[in-house]
Amino acid sequence: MIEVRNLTKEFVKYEKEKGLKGLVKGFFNAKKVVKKAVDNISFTINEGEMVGYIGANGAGKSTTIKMLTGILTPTSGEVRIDGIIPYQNRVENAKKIGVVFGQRTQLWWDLPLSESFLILKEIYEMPDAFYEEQMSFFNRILNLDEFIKSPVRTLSLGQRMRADIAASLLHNPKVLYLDEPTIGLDVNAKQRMRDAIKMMNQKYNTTVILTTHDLDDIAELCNRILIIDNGKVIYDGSLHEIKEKYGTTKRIEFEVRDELNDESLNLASVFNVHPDELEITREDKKLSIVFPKLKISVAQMTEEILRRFDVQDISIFDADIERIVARIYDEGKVTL
Amino acid sequence: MKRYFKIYRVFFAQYLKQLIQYRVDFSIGILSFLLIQFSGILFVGLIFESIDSLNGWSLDQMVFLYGFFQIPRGIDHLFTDNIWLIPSKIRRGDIDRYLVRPINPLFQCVAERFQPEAFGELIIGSILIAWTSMRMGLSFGFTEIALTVVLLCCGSMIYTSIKLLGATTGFWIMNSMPLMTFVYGIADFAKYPTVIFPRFIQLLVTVVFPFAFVSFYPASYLLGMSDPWFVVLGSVVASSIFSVVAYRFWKFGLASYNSAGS
Amino acid sequence: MKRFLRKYGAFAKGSFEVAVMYRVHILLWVFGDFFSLGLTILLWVAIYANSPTEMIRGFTLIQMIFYNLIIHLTGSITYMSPLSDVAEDYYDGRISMSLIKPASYAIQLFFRNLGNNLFSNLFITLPTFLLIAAVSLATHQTESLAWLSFPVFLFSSLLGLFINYFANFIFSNLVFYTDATFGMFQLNQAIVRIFSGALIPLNFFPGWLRSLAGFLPYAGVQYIPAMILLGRTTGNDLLSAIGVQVLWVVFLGVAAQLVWSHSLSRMKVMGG
Repeated sequence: MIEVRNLTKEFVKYEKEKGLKGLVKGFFNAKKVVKKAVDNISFTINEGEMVGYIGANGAGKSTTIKMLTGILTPTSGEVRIDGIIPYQNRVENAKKIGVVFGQRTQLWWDLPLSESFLILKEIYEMPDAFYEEQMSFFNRILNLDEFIKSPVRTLSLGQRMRADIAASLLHNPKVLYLDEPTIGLDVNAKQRMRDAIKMMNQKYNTTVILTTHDLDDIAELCNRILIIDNGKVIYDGSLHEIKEKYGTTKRIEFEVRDELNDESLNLASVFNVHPDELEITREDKKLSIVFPKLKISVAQMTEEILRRFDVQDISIFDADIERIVARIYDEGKVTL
Repeated sequence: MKRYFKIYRVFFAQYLKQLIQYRVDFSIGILSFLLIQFSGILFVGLIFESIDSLNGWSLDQMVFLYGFFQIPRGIDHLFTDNIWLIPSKIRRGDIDRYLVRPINPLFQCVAERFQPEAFGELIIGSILIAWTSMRMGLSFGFTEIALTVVLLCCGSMIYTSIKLLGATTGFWIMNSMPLMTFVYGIADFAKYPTVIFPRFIQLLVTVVFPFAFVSFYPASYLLGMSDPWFVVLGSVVASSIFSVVAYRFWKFGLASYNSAGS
Repeated sequence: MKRFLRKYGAFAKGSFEVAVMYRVHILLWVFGDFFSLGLTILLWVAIYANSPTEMIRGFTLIQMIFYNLIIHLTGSITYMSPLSDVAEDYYDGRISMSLIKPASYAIQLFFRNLGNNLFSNLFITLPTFLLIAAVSLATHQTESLAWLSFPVFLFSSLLGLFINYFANFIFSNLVFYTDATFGMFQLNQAIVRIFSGALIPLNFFPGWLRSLAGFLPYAGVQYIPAMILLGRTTGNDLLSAIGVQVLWVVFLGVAAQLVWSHSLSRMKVMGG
């Protein structure tokens, strides 16, 4: 469905010195600097996959997405979406894609939402019956009827995002690009967004590419992630795999009956590990411990805490993705 | 193609609806235009208290010209006002939105905004033309009116093209406003008979930026001061050339945006 | 005090820097500005060429040219445009953010505009001034300008700056009440242009219009300083002209405060 081969994008920037003096100097001559935003990346995404595309700011995420959507032309390399080259065949490609730019709306600011949808119907040349069907579907799962008559600029963020998602999926695109779709939303709204996306994927086999900093989004939606750093793809694989190999820690939350006092638990010496390898947080009656699972087993840790405290409840978690990703950023590469 | 009409119709209906809703904004817009027109006529009126004619142009003819000046400008302002915002849209990345949809980006940008306050220009212009025509005892036949309509359309096309040329520079220049304001400032020369200005100015507004063909030549044709063939041919040629050049330049700008981002 | 200056000086410096940053922008802006001045002058040349008399309403052609040059000069010296800032902030919805500290927003606004003003002074005022000097020397018309009153002219222009700022600031509050942004800006510009003497010298106005101009502060922004430099306002007239300006500065300054606090309280009730 989506084929990316040796994709590279270079930008030319002019450097100026800082300060007022630099500005005046820069007035007369400025230095040229070439920056490789995307550096020779390749990957293939199949129809129906939901892929998370993550990376630090400036790592090359948006640039890649812009090339896939036809906004930017690559410096070299090739992109094919369902056989079409997006930057050569912009219109054909546009018919098959839906985009949500989290921060900026796709809709028309001053128009009532219902009118926006009517315009989209014409833009994507949707037959009446299909349009009705889609509208009732989105009304149902996203509750658009509440505010469908209001101008877009009067909508709250949550409402606007729901509208944007519906707008991007209205014409049943083959590929959906989501750029920070849940940013700024409350927990309920986020969940509804994710549900809507999942439903579309299940119903229509829509391919979804999600760029986000919210790793919960990734966890809930994506079975595959691509990590980009400094223009290069440093990881391309399943979430499960990365957790397995990189998730070398486990976290257990204990709820204890007695108030925890400040005494040191001294777990490091008990288990014969370096204190830095343990992360212990205490709050009221909750005790949370992050520990290296290869060195201390879940059973061992649980046993130790049970021995010392009157434990009411236990929750066991895999390594947080945040932690994993942070580590990958730090190391700059992935070794599996 | 029919698709584009349908889309525009939806936008248009909305703006009309909004017009009724946002009366205050609309009235203020109209008020400010009225004031600007008033100041222009005030200037001419006050000048003519001290002189009798300006290179053969009487006060009535001057006001006629002034009225004529408003109409193509008003048409252009009415439909394509959003072009002024293109440079800021480029900077904010709002252009991306146009590029991910399967219709012409320029159409999307222009259709999004309809500026009903431009009716002020059209109404004032028409009133001035009608009033001064009456005062001068002029009457126009069918041919003249038909040709005038053509000339007015060509005229607004010239305005739109030049505006687009200016706005497209927003792909490379940080702030295109001074450029666009400057070019529109040149258009102000066409408020007055081109003949009163030195040679090089006349060339500037006839050949380089053909604003003279937007209002001066059509008006002077109607006043019987210019040859109709010259005027019609000149307008059609100028508007065609500029439209093509402007659109090509816009495409070039988009291509450059595609390669360099913003 | 020093800290105040340093803090808000940063805003002035900031807008100055932004303005300096784009070379093409500056060139175009300056060029365009002088171009429209050129149009006006060429227009007057044509008008005088059609005039049976050498003087029109007390101005010879050369004097009229000087008038326009000086108006250009005063326009640049007194350039303060809080209206466009407020309108833009309002349109973007940034107003509510800026209003967390309303007093500092008002001061920030002033210094931001001051930065723009300094910029305009560097690129427009100086060249215009040099142009005026050059023209007066070239045409041996040095008596047309009252060079001795130059310091008074500067003082009068400074007063004009404050009048301009306060008047525009008050006007910009209307944006909050009417929800109209760009239209307001145009309306204000149109009014100021007529009544500041930028369109045509105020003595060209018929009686009723001249009286109306007298009720508005805008004459004090450009017309009064221009007349001073042209040596047409001297002696007692000079003193009363300056007096009028001072009164306007005080009156508008107070009015600005009142209007601003009213707008603020209204905004707190209605939401940004």
